[in-house]
Amino acid sequence: MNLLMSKLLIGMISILTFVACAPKVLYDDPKKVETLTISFSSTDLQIISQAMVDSILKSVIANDENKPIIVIEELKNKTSEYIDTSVITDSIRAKLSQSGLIQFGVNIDELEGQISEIDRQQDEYYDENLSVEKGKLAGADYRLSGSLISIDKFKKKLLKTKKDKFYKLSLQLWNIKTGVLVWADEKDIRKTEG
Amino acid sequence: MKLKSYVVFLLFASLVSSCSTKRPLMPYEMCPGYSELGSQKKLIKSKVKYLKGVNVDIVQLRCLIADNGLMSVDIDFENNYRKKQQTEFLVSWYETNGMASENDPNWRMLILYPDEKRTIKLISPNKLAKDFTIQIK
Repeated sequence: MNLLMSKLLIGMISILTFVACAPKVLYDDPKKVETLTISFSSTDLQIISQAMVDSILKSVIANDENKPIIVIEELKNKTSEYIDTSVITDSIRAKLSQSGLIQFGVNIDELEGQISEIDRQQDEYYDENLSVEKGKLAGADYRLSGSLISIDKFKKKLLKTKKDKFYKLSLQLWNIKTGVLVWADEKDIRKTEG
Repeated sequence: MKLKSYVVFLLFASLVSSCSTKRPLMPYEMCPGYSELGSQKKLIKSKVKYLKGVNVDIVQLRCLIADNGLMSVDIDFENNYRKKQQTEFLVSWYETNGMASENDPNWRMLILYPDEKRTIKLISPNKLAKDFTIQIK
């Protein structure tokens, strides 16, 4: 009886320990300021993309009544981290599209999919009148390019290390026809840890 | 004779009053709701909501409609405290019918040093956005 009781007690204690230690999953606000680590974060992405969108909307091309077409190049990642820079350009593109003042053309990465779909529609199974014609893609007026750099500094103290991280996103908008730079801007972010 | 000069004066006065034009509105008077509220203090009270524990003040709002129909807003933040303040603010845009203009706005972060005053420039997300509110936490 004593053995049974002690086994039961051990079992209950282990269940309680397991329940208490199990990680709790909670939903959180994706828009809140995130400061978990010093690395490139969702907040950094939101800050730099919003700053660039605001700047482009104040620029001369947002006053063009013809709704200029922009094509986006891949941002150069010159930081020491792996950052999928397409997330930054996708965010900028989504926000600018919502303004209704700027249009976007197919970029190099999306071109293959676009051509493949046009080719597919030339198939005999498609209604000729409802299929798109070849040679109708709109050429862009402007080309958006840029780079993201980071400068990392750290200083070791007795028990901890102080880290300083500086990010700079630089974007440029070029007139494709004339090669003239029509807009450029930069956004800096500095973070420290320790 | 006296009557004649009185009539001439009246004509002149009416001519001057009809020719005089209203002075152009200052940017702080161009914010939506200012004409009804009549003061910057009331405007800020109607547009800004301070959530708990905020040690940063908004002291002026200025608005301007650009040629493309987008509204530029300057927000003057001030830290009147002796410590560095890290605050976050959320700007929500509304159309004239009261519908939200932007689907999911971001909280923006702001760091202000003691006694610092800083202007943050914003632009409306589209032409339909004609009004805004600001929350600070």
